[in-house]
Amino acid sequence: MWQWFHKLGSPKWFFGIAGRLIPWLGFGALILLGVGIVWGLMFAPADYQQGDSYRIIFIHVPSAYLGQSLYVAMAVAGAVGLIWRMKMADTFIAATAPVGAALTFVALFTGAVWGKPTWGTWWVWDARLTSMLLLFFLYLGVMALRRALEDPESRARASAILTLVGVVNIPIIKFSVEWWNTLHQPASIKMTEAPAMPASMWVPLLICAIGFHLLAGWLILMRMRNEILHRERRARWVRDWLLSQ
Amino acid sequence: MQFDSLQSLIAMNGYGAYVWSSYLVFLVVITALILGTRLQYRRIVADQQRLARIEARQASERKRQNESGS
Repeated sequence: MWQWFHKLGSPKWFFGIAGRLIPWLGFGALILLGVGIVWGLMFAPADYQQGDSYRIIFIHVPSAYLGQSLYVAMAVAGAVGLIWRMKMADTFIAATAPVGAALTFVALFTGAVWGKPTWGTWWVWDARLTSMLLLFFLYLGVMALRRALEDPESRARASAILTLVGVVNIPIIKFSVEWWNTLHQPASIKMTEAPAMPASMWVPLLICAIGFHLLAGWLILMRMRNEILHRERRARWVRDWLLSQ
Repeated sequence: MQFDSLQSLIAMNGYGAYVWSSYLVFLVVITALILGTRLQYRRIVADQQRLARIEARQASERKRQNESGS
């Protein structure tokens, strides 16, 4: 375990492993998203209340889910970085923030577009929507903070603290649909209960969700490799590797 | 298949504009992320190669000066 942890902290080792994983993640994401989206758009039955507008769910739910879980992952990395001074934790935050911001934006946009035919409005300032918008701004905040700070040490510490402070927003998003009256419906799929939809709907949704995870993993690993190449640009192995490209 | 023609797939019983614009935005955002990641990588490689060229030139100039000086 500790040996593994130690290795994970080694940029050179991580760079090699990530390089081997990247093609598989990219290929898997392409296949699963292709299958899941075509299934969801063309073969899943229409919803008895919402008709065909609910087909937005196949990108809305996975992107909203990942937008939140990537922020939690950043906060965990932030804690690891603060406690053990692990450089790779900061590399992860740097690589993940833009991916999380993009997915949160997709969740907000598709939510607004889905809200119009379903609720009759693009946007309401209720708990779920507002806390999700705050999540988007937290991502942008992490990115802006990283751009503003030059010194790598203080940049790592500041962004780690921001991720840890911002993570209190995540349970607010999660439970907002239960604590307050909102237009947003409660979760359709829970880990602990049978899904509130037929298999012909949740199977393609699950395929899309796994596809989104692979897509995010693919993008994050590629960005982490870029980040390593930039940080370790003076290391012998990085120079040799870059000049061989 | 839930739709019997391409037109009805595009129309989505009146919800076409909502559904397709959502998928389009998703596609655009992901494409932008992929291109941004590519660009990031190309810049790093280009910077490194430029640095290597400058160092090589400096090294050869130093060598020339040493040879003419001796």
